[in-house]
Formats: sequence, C-alpha cells, structure tokens
Amino acid sequence: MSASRAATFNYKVVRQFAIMTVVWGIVGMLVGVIIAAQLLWPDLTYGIPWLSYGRLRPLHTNAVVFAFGGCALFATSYYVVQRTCQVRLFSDALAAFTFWGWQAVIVLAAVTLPLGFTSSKEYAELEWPIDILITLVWVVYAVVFFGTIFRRKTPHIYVANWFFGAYILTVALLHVVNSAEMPVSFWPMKSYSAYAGVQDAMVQWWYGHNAVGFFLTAGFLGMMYYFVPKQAGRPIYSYRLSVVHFWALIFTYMWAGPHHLHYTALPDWTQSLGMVFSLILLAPSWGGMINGVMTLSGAWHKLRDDPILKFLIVSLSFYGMSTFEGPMMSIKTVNALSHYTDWTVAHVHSGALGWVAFISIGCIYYLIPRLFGRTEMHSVRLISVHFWVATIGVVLYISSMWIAGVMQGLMWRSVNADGTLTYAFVESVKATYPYYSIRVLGGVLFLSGMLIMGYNVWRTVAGKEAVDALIPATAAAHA
Amino acid sequence: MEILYLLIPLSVILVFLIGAAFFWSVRSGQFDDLEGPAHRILSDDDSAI
Amino acid sequence: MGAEAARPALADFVAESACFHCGERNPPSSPWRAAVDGAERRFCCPGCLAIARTIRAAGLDRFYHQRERADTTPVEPASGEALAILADSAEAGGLVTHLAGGLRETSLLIDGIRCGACVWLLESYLAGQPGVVQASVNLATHRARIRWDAQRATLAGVLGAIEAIGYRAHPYDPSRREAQMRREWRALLARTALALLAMMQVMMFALPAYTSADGIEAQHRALLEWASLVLTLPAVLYCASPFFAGAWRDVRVRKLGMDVPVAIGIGGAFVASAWSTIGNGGPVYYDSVTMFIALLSLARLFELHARRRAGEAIEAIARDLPETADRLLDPADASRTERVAACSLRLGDRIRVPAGASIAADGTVVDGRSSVEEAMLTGESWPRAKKVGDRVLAASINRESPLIVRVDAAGEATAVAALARMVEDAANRRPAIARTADRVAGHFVAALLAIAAATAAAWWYLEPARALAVTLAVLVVSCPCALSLATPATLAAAAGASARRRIFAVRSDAWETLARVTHVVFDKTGTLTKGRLSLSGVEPLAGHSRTQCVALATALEAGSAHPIAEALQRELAPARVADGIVAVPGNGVEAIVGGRPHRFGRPEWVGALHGQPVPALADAVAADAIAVALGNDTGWIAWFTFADDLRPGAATLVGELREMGLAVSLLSGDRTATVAHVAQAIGIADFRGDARPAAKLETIASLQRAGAVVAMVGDGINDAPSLARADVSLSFGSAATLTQWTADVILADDDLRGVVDSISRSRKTLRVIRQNLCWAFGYNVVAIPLAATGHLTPLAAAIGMSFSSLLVVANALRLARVAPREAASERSAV
Repeated sequence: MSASRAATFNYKVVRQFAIMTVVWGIVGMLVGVIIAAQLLWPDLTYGIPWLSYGRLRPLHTNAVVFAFGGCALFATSYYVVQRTCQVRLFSDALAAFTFWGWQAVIVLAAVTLPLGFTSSKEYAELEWPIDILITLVWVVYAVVFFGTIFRRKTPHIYVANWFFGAYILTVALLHVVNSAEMPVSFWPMKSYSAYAGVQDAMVQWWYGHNAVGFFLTAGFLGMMYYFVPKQAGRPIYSYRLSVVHFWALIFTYMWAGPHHLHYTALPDWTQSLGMVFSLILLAPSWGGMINGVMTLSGAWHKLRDDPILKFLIVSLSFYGMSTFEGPMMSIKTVNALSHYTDWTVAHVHSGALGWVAFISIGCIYYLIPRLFGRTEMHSVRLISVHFWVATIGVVLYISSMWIAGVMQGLMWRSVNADGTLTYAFVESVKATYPYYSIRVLGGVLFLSGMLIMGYNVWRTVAGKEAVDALIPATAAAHA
Repeated sequence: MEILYLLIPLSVILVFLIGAAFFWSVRSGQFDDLEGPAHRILSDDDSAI
Repeated sequence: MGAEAARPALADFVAESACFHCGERNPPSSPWRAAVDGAERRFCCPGCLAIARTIRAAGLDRFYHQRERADTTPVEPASGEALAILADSAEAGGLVTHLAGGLRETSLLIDGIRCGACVWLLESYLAGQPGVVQASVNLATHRARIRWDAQRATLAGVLGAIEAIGYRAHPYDPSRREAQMRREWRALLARTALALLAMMQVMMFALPAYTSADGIEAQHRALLEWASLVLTLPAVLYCASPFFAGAWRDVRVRKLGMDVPVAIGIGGAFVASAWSTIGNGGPVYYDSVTMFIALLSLARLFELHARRRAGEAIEAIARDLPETADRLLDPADASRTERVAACSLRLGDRIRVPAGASIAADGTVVDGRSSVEEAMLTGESWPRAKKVGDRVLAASINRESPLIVRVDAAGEATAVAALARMVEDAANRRPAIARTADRVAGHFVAALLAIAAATAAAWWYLEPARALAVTLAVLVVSCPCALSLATPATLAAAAGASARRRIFAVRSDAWETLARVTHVVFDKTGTLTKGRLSLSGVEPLAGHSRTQCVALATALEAGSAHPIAEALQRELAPARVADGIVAVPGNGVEAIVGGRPHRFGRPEWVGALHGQPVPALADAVAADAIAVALGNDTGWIAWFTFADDLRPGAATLVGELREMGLAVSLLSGDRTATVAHVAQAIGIADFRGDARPAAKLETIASLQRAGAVVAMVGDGINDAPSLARADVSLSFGSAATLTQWTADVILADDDLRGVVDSISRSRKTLRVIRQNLCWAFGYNVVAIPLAATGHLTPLAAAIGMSFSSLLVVANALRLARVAPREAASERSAV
C-alpha cells in the first residue's frame, strides 16, 4: 500500500550525512597521516605551499572535528529526534539546506586552508565568509531540530535530545562570540578578530574548551544514550542518572576554559578557576560513562559476538579515561610539565579517536543497514577487523605520544647545577623522532580501518533501494 | 582583562536561560516518569524489515 | 536479537497447556486457538482469545516478544454498558478536562501493567484509535494521560479499547492527596535544583577571592561580586521563599521554629553582601547564602521523598476499589441485576459478585460459598474461604464461585477506605515525639537568638569590623535540624517501610510507645492459634465407621456456625440434617436421628442421656484439645477431639521477643489446661487461663502499676477493653477485626512476625532519633562557641550546618530500607 510522504520519517538527509561521515573520516584522517609523516620527513611535500604542515594541520583538525564529527552528529541527531518524537523532521527543505550548506563549509575549508587563509584561532581557523555560512547553517539546524521537538507526539523528551539540544545551542553561542571579527577583504579572505592579546586568548580558549565539551562531548553523549541501549537491546542502566548527569554537566561546564592558559599572561586567579572547575567536571562525566557501560550489566556476553557493541562500549572506556586525564592535566603543577608537549596531543587523540571516532563508527554501522533496507552490514566480520585494527592503531598512537610528551616536558625543564638548561631544544626533537614513527604507524592503522569501513559501506549500499521507514503511530492507524 | 565584561555577564544570562529551561521541564512533567522512556525507545521498532 | 533455537519437545508441551496470553492453564483440548505471532496458539478462554486477536489485528504482535513474562491476570471484561456508566460518572465527577479545539483530556489508572512492553502496547494501540490525539502511559505510576477529539471518540470508547487488549482503566481523581504531593514535590525539586545551579555559579565567582585575594584588580572583583549578586537574588527570593514564609508563620503565632534563624541568616547575609557590593566594598557572603539555601533545600527534598514513598505505600491499600457493582433488583432472585456505581450502594442492598470480580462493598455473604483474596491488605494472593454469614471486604477479589453479598458499608464507609484514611491521618498528625521536638527546638532557637544578639553586642564593642561576619556565622552554624527536620523524616521513613511490610499504625504515637514496651501479652485463640478448630481425632465406640460417626455429628451440627460445626463441615459436607435440633449453650446440641434422641457435646451432659459412666478415654485426651462426645439414649457412639493449630512462627516468636529483652505472657479465656498446653508448646512461662475480660483487664493494670509498658496482641473480637487498657495494642487485619478499630497497630497480613518487626523497627526509629539528637547536641555545643569566638567564617558555618542537616536526614532515611521477606510459600493457606 502506498503511504503518504507524511507517514514516513525523513531518512534521506540522514543517509546523506551518514555516507559523508565515512567519506570525510577517510579524508580527514588521510590528511592527519600526511602531516604526521611530514613531522618525520619534512620534505615529503617538496615545499609546495598548499601542502605545507602549517596549512594542512588546521585542515586536518577541521576535517576530523567538523566534517567527520559534524556529519556524524547531524546524521544521528536527525535520526534520533525523529524516532524518539515519532514525527517527521520539521522541514525537509531546511534539513536539505543544512546538508548542502555544511558540505559547502567543508569544501570551502578544504580550499581556503591550504591557500593559507586562516584566522589562526584554533578550531576556528576558517575565515569570515565561511563563518557567516556556518552561522546560517547552524541557525537553520536549530530550527529544524527544535521544530521537530516542538511537534513531537510523545510528551516526554528523551534524554538524548536534551544533549543534542544543549550542544546545538551552545555551539551557536560559542561560534558567534569567538568568531566576532572585522572583515578586511573577501579574496584573499582576511579579517581581524574583535579581541586582541590576552583577551583574545581568553575568549579563544573559552570557545576551544567548550567546543570540546559541547561539540565533542555533549553531542556524542546524546548519541551514546540512544544507540548503546538500542544496540544492546537493553534499557539504559539508570534513566534517572542520565537526567541528573545532563543537568550536572550543564551546570558546571562553562568555566573550564582557562586551564588551557596556565602560566601565561592570563591572571593567576583565572587560571586557578579553570583548574578547580575542570576537576569538578570529573564527577558528571564519569556518571555518564558508568551509566553507559553498566547498561550491559548482566549481558556482557553480547560483547563477544557483536563488534558494533564493542565499538560503542570501548568508546565509553576511552571517554572515561580522557575525562580523567583532562582534569589531571588541568592541575597547574601537572600542566607545567605537559603544556606544549605531545602529551596534549596524546590526550586529544585518546578522546578524538577513542571516544569520538569509535562511537561515531559504531553508530554509523548501526544506521547504514536500516537506512537502506538491510538487516545488517554487508560483512559483520569486516566490522570486527575494523575494530581490532583501529584499536591497535589508537593504542600505538596514544602510548607513543604519552612517552614523547613526558620526555619532552622533562627534557625542557631539566636544568644543570649552574642553572642553565641541560638540553637544547633540538635535542628533544631528536629524542622524540622515533615516537613520531610509531605515531605514524598508529595513524596509518586507524586510516586503514576507515578504508575497510568505506569498502563495507559501499558494498552494503551499492545498488540498494533507499528506504524510508513508516512512522509507527500512523502505520498502526492505517493497518 | 576587559574580556571579562563580556564573558561574565554572558554566563549570567546563560545561567538564567538554563534555569528557565529546567523550570519548564519540571512544570511540563519531564521528570514525572524516569523509568518508562528508557523502555520506550526499545519498543520502537526501527529494524528494516 | 539472534535467531531462536529449535524448541525442545517439553517446551512445546508447556506451550500447548498454558494460555498464550495470560499464562493460565488451558483446559484440555481447548477449542480457542488463533494464529498469533507466527504460529497457532492456544488460549484458556474466549476472553484471552479476543484480546490476542485484537492485538494481532492492530499489528502489535511484537508485544508477546517483548513482555517480560506471561502472567497477565485474566480480567473479566466489562460490558459496554458498564463502561458507559463509568465514563458518565467520570464526566460528572469533573475528571475530564475540556481543552481548546473540542479536545478532552483525562487521567486514568491502569491495572495490569507489568513492564515496558505493556506501556508500548497501550500507547501504540490507543494512538491508533480514531480520534485519539495523544496517549502516554507512565510506567512508574501506572497512570495514563489520554487526549481525544470529542467529535470522533468518546471516553467510553477509550476505556473499551483499553479493555480490548486486556487491561482495565479507572478514571482517577487528581484532587486526591497524590496530586497535591506531586505539586509539592515539583515545586521543591525546582527550588532545590535552581538553588544548586546558583550555588555552582556563585561558588565559581567567589573562588578567585579565596585563591588569590590580592591578585584581582578592584574592578574585576567588583564585576564578580555584581554577577554573584544577580545570581543570588533569585535564589533568595524564589528558592528560599519557603524559609521566609515558614519564619513569618512562626513569628505570627509567637513560636520559634527552625525557619526563624535560617531566614534571619539568609536575609542578613544577603542584605549585608548587597550593601557591600552596591556601596563601598566590604566582605560578601554570596557563596555562603547560596550554598546554605541549596543544601537545606536538598535535605528537605529528601524528607519529602520519604513522606511521598510512605504515602504511596499507604495509598496502595485503596487502589483496587471497584467502580461498579451488580445489584439485585429483587433480593429473592439472583438472576436479575442492574449495574450501578459502587458508591451508590446502600445498606442492605444485595450485590452479586461473580468469580474473578472485585467485591464492591463491605458486606456479609448471604448466598454462595467461595474463597476470597484480600490482596489489598495482605499484598499476597492467598485466598480465605467464605461462606454464608462470613464478612467480606470491599476491594477483595472473589475467586471460586459467585457470591451474593448483603452490603454493610459502601464507598468511603468501607473498611478499606476508612483504614487508608486513618493511616493517612496518623501519618500526617504530628505524634507526641515530634511535638516535643518542636517545643525543644523553640527553646533552642530562643537561646540561639539570645546568643547571637550577645555576640553581636560583644564584637561591636571589641572589633566592629568583624561583628557582622561573626554574628552571621553564629546564626547560620547552629543546627536545630535534628529536631525539626530529621524527626519527621525518621517517622516517615519508618511508616513507609512498615507499610511495605503491611504493618499500619493507626494511632500516631504507636511507634514511640512500641519502642518502650517491656511486656507483650498475647491472647490465645485467633492470635497465637489460627482461631479455627480442626478435627484431630475420632474414636468410634459402638462399632460404627469413622465416616458414619462424622456424618452423624455433622447432621447434628448442620446449620450451626459454631467453630466445632465448622471443623466438622470442613471434614464432610452435611448430607442430611437431623430433626428438631436444639442447641444448649455451654453443653452442645441435641436432636432426633432415626427416631432416637442424640446428643453431641460435653461428655458429662451427653452421658446424662444414657447414664453410663464417662470412659477413661476422656482423660487421655491431650490437654490442648477439646473432647466432644457423641451419644444417644443407648450409649456412647464416639469420641471426637478438636484442636486449634498454632499459627506458623508462633514458636520462634517467643524466643525472638525474649532475645529482645521482653517479657511474654499469655492471657486467655480458654480452659487453663488448654492454655497451659499451648504455653508450654511455645515456651511462655507466664500464662493464665479461664480469664474473664475483667480478669484480663486487671492483669494488665497490675503489670502497669508495677511499671511495665504493656503491648497487647489480640484479635480484637472480645478483647476490646484489654486492648484499650494496654499501652499499645496490635491486632490482625482479618475481615472480622478490621471493623473493630480498637487496635493501635494493624498487622494486615496476619503474620505474627509483624509483632517482632514492629517492635524492632520502632526501637530502631527511636534509636535513630536519639542518635540525631546526640549529634545535634554535640555539634551545636562545639560549633556555636567556635562561631561566637570568631573562629568560623560564614562560609564555613554554612558548610557545617548544611552537612549536619544532610547527615541527620540521611541517617533517618536508613530506616526506609526494607529487607525482603521470605516467600509466602511457607505459610499455609487458610
């Protein structure tokens, strides 16, 4: 029987974003491998300006965080909000705009960053025209998301949607405030930040840390609270705890930013504030981790045979680890050792690869079959291969960078009896070199895993009919 | 640190907005049933059969 | 999740014999089958079949996969007419809200919800009904909120839809206690959470002042203080308003409660801080204020939670009162009935209660014989036998066969409704101990305010700059919270835990008195024993068979309600009735059988009929048994012995009470020899038999004169004066006694362990209250001088006071934990 369009969910935009998540994951991580290799072999790219390290690094960070992570968030938030509210997205046209607009942002980033157009603010390097486009897309995203919630058929708003909603609104605020700038020219794209000096640093890292906290944490926690129970077939360990977790996180998150600026020109009291609140954040973060992991309590055997569940649960372990490591690193004395070293890089990647990437991968493997009318991926075994390859990759990456980081920190602060530095900077670079090789290997493994995923996804969807699921309540009425 | 004249009032406004959101949730009964929603998502059949 | 393995043959057999829908046993070769969920299934009755078909037709077969177990209780579906009446009475009672656009909304109580799958089934099915706009079911409370378009659907239709898939819905009245509790809860939750939010943010702004006091430029400090002020203002005006309201109330009636120093502390600290901020600098206490408000509100939230849980356990008593009843149009003709609303039943009406239905009112059985489940009292479903003349209670469920019941009390007058009300009242009325606590708190607060004033004066004289801070610290640090906050929490936690164990205190001071009990006095029959004689032996003396003797005795006792007659009837249903039965009180019954006079009763009286001496067997009868003789004018026919079995647990009971240091006695109106036997069997040394009511009274009074605190445990029928005389009385919740109301504590599930339970819990309760008082005393004695001598900052004082409050409340809440009881299988069905 033919169902009217209104009786199905909008899976089209979910499909689009889900596929692009995989594509941009491969692209972003490929760039990552290239720049890691450049640190080993600086002449790798023959001095071509568009491929220089300084220009490729922000391309890497933007691609993995906003292209890969962003598309994963769009795909899952659009899926979850529809299914939990039992209603189609607020507007198909606006949703389509968010897709094409976001892809435009990514493509523009891929073009302008190698061209050297940059605001030089970390995770906010894109210049002013793209900033405006991001704002537009984001406002429309908020309209679609909250509009869908407004139209919901179920009175209760499932907890995952609270996390998504918080991340959308906060990112909007952060972006608008941090990217306040005075445009100078369109081509080359150039602008000056509204802030300067230590003021700019403060705003930048208020943005930077909350980008991590809301874009990379709250948003993905929303994913976790839906897809972990669904894949495990069990309700979340304690729904009450999830609600408390959400509000506790929201109540405490906004002020951890200064911990990026210890021992800088930032006033001492601001630095201390950042430190204390980063430590306080430990509690709500771990509440979420425990909630997710304990969902499997009584059903641990499911982990044995289900590689998607492996991705999801292991991601939570990395989440726990990173949210412990972070507060530790925000303690001033610890930070005195770790700042500017590769320990920071290790920390970022344990969070980005271990938590963000793993959970996104798990969710995409869940979604793709359902979006294309299949019961499972083309090859479940390949998912398992992907998991092991990726895990080894992550472990190699972060352990090599830990060692490198601590070593750098110790070497830099080492002083002789007469007060002079023991080591020249270049000596620490030389000592770090072998670990950079291991890191490249780790990155290559992780990228290979993504390529395996790409293949698996392609085999799953190629030639298949795209399927839009019926909205259950209306389906029952028609039955 | 003039930036504080921006960041601190901004965070105060944000706190009021968060408070308002919480208040609305309590009033509209979002916290009345903290068991059912966990099961409801599982009952929603999204398998592609 | 994964493919199902091939079923072994045993599972097939089981599947065949259990109803696919409700799990009850299928009759052999049950004709009710249907293809559901991929295979042909069998059902126990047309009802379950119809429900399963409805579910399948709606495409909701998945329900059978997802539910946790198949044990839905088969509910007799109500007729369309009954539902229409229900819907009308709901409308008339104002339970249906009219919304804009022709929409209607109502709240329903749903019976039969077992797990999340039931919620899904209900919501999916209802959402698919034409005209239903929204249906949401709350798994935790079993409430549903339904919204429909009055043009396209009706409430009766909605109720019918719910019945069609096997659940029963009752419109419920949201103006009852529960809705009020919910409003109170929501308000306090919002206040507490917003106070916590303010506290986190203000603490953040305050931190710099502590960590680097000199490192902040003056204008930044001012900015942080202004931000703190703006955030603290709503905390003081909204979150703390209950404290101010409470303080105002207290002051107006010239009482000094805990709210007074709290209000002064919060108000004073805030005003002082605002003064400093707006004016020319000085110390600020925003962090203390917000922390204080937040943590105190949190402690109150926990207390309200305990009260709410207690309330829910109590409200569960009256949950099963049915809405409608079948009233006989003509008392003589049981086949003609009309369906009426339960609350419109009047005294003397007769109602017909089919098997499986809930009894709509309190009454007496006038026809029929069945067993009845009084689950609303016992919490378990072990049925009690009922026959003509037995009392039945509203909300109990008739199990076996139809009964005709004559109404004795209906609606709010039913025992169950009255019990719920009394328990609720007792829970709400402040018991003596709480009133004492309030009085002491009042004196404490007065003393505190005096100390605060003295401190202020002293410091103003010595070092004015610090006077304000020190005075605030004194006001804030003191904690009368063990009195005013923890005592209600303790009592509520204890009441809630007891209610879950089916022990209900009907007088508010019961707990306190129970804790002080030194002596426990038991009645025998019906208390320590089951209160029911059973035939333990028959000795034929004239060559008849045992069965013949019993038949003969039964014929003589036919129609009698005497316990001996009941025991006989349980052995053998009366097949014939003797002629000319005459009951001679104190001796027995006499009647003509086969033309000859027969007597059945006291051996000496029976012997008088034929003049032969009483055989030696009479002496060999066990001391706790009753010997009854059967004879006619030619001689003895048989000896019967009847015994009253001990309740299970009676033996261990005495040992446990002794271990708790209590003296145990047994007082009974039965023969001393019988009483002695029972006393020895369970180990009570102090017993007295042949006690008339006056003697019982005197025994209790003399114990009390000797200084004992006496608890009396009786079944309430003939013990009323003694129960009233004792310091605290406990009785059982059986149908007969519930209507008496002389006891202070009702042990609703007739379990003797309730005696031990209630005494030990009450002792624990008092112990916790005492612990809290000790803590409060010690804390205040240390903290107030420390504050008065300037050793505590207002922040430290706030932290101290808040944690002290949380500590005493948490200690109180320990009582709310109830250890699971052993399974009911060890109890025999009555």
